[in-house]
Amino acid sequence: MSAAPPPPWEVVLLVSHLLDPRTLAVASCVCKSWRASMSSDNLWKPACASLFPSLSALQSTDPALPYHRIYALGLAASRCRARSPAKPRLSLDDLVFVVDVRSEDLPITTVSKPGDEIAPDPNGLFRFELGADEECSLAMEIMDPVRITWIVALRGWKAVFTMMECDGRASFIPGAEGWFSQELPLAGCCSSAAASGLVADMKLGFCSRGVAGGKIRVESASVGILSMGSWRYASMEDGLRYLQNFLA
Amino acid sequence: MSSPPSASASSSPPPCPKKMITLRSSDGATFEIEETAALQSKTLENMIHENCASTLIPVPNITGEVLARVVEFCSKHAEAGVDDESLGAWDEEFVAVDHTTLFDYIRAANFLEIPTLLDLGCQTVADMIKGKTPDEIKKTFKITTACTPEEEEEVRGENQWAFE
Repeated sequence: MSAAPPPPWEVVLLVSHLLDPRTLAVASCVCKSWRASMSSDNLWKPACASLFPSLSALQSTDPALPYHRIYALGLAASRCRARSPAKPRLSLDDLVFVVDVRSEDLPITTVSKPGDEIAPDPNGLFRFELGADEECSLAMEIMDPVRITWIVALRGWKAVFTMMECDGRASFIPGAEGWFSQELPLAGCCSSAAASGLVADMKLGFCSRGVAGGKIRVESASVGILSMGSWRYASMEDGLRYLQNFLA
Repeated sequence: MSSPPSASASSSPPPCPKKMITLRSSDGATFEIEETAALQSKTLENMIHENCASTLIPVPNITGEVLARVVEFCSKHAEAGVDDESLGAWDEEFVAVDHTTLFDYIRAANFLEIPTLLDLGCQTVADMIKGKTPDEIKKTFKITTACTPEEEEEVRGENQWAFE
């Protein structure tokens, strides 16, 4: 068969109305006349209006901006927004958790637990029980002033990050827990004036078992990272990604 | 053409003989088409209603070869009692032609405003374009006009998302 002439422009124009955006974009790359036919605003306007209605504002500000470009912009923007963060490079095993409780410079108890000895939260949250050794905890008076410190370190003491350092009182309601919290700094993209929306959270459990004179001891400590927006614990992955900014 | 085994052609004879329209192609060939079939074309419909179709309708843009096939298409689609499946199969065969003829069908359907034929023809071409790379499209339709390298890079860049 001899070489047939290519499709007349009339046919290209008529056919273009049946093509979806992706095919139109690919077909635009065939040749100059196809580029002109496949880029026409009236072909792209309906797709933009249905998928990216808010972007029609762009055309009002710059009438020279063609709809096929608005479509490409809308697609790129929605892909960017939908992008999920990379998996954290840190794992719990790389970390050591240190909790220190002192009262007026007197060390009450220090708990140091490497990550591989900490049981992960069954719900995948960044929240952990660090059992305190009652035997090693000194006794305190109820309502004594206490300073709580929670540090997360990289194994081998390669780096440290202080999660919280705050003062409070050893409040003791039997079975109830002393709760301490401190806002965490924002990592990376904004200056420290902006809030991170994250809070380091610690609950100390006190008990009076086997302690004379109405004094109390630290029997447990649990720590975690809370999100202020939802007032829920952050996921394990989010917690690790956060710490990556300061430790890795 | 099948007919029931009786003397007359149909069970209820039409009150008057079917009205025929005559079309003349660009190269002077004439074709008869039933009015009901001609009504598939909006252009012809308008002419019929304005009573211009009393004698002969010239169709200057379309050659006899193509016009004959268009008449065939319209007659088939005006036929009563054809089920969708067999009509679909008939349509498929109708467009199984070389590209030049296919493009002629599309232009004829556009000129005569025959939506069924226009959709059929355009969809056939659209299906030849979908899913192909630009080079494959060029090959399919034997398009040889080239862009400058700068133009090609520019248009590729603008449409990169479609290749991902």
